[in-house]
Amino acid sequence: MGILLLGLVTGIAFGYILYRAGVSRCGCIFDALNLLNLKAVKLMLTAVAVGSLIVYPLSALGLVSVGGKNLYVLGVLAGGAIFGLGFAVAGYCPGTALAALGAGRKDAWPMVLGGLLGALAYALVYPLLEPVLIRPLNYGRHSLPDFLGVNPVAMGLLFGAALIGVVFLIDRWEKGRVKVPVRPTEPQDARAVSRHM
Amino acid sequence: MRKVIREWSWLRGGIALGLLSAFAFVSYKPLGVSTSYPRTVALLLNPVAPEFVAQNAYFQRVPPIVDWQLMLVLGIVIGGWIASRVVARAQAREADMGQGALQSGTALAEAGQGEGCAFGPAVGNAPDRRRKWRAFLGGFLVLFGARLADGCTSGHVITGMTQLATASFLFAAAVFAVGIPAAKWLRAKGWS
Repeated sequence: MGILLLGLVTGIAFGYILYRAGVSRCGCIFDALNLLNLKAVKLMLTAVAVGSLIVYPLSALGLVSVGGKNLYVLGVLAGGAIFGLGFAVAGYCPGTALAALGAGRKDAWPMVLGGLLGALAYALVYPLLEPVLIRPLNYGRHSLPDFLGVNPVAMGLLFGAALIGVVFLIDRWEKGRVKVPVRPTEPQDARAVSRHM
Repeated sequence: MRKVIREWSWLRGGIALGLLSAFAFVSYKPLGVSTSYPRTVALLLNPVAPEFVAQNAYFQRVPPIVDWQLMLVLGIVIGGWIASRVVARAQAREADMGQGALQSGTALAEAGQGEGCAFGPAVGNAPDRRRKWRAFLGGFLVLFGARLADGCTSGHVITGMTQLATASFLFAAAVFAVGIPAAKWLRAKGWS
């Protein structure tokens, strides 16, 4: 019960951040994929860097376990490619669509409905795909420090610090670029929710 | 000079999301969203077709139970709702102060400060059916791909890359290798 409540509270914070940061607007995603405004990319990489810089020291203290994810080359690449295509069509990822749904955006429920059907379709074809895309080239739980044989905490901290540098470089490059003017921050749009009131 | 409530910057949003991600790692388990889609399907189908759910090899891996992540997903919807209400109220207040209570938050938002989406203010209140169909199609592909790869933006990119998972770097590379040309092509076609 406590775990469920913890999940709910974590989710509320998650949805609040996604909406307030503007990444739950499909326009923000479209602009990022068109390389016009990389806000969503910078935000994501910053989150990764902050996460690494906190999680790895805590893992050294034994407070967190970090072990990577299952690596099966074909399924991950094919799944990523299909995901990328859908991302470019929808402008939402599974999480941002839910924040947009809560905010009352009218194109969020079709995305979520399509997602549920996509998940059902996957469940139906899973027995066919599993031997072809998941079983071959499957290395189990796999992370870069284990693979390279380096200290995970050192590599995690170095990665986090380097990534922050990369994000600021992207930001500088973006600011120096002559292109269609992009407003630094979009005003927030409450229209969708106002309609519901 | 009216002060308009603005979206958080990438830095502020990124730090907030990184702190939340670290909190999730420490408090229970890393953030992830997309498993809850098939789990919701399993929960919906279970009362009407329990045998199908019990026998499907994938639903055996993602059984119809309410877990931490499903509550997280429910929380995201609530969090998005709360945030949009907070913004709507702030905008209405700003409008009252600046414009003698004539402009509502709605009017402000529609006065050309759109969401930069195909479904923007120009469409007015009419539902843009094409945009909805595209969101539906995109949603189908996004979740199919996320399940095949065993993770989405949350589970692979944010929490996977945070723990230096090799699969997550491959996933992110595949997403952008296809997503960027696809988005450029669709924009040229007038889709986004």
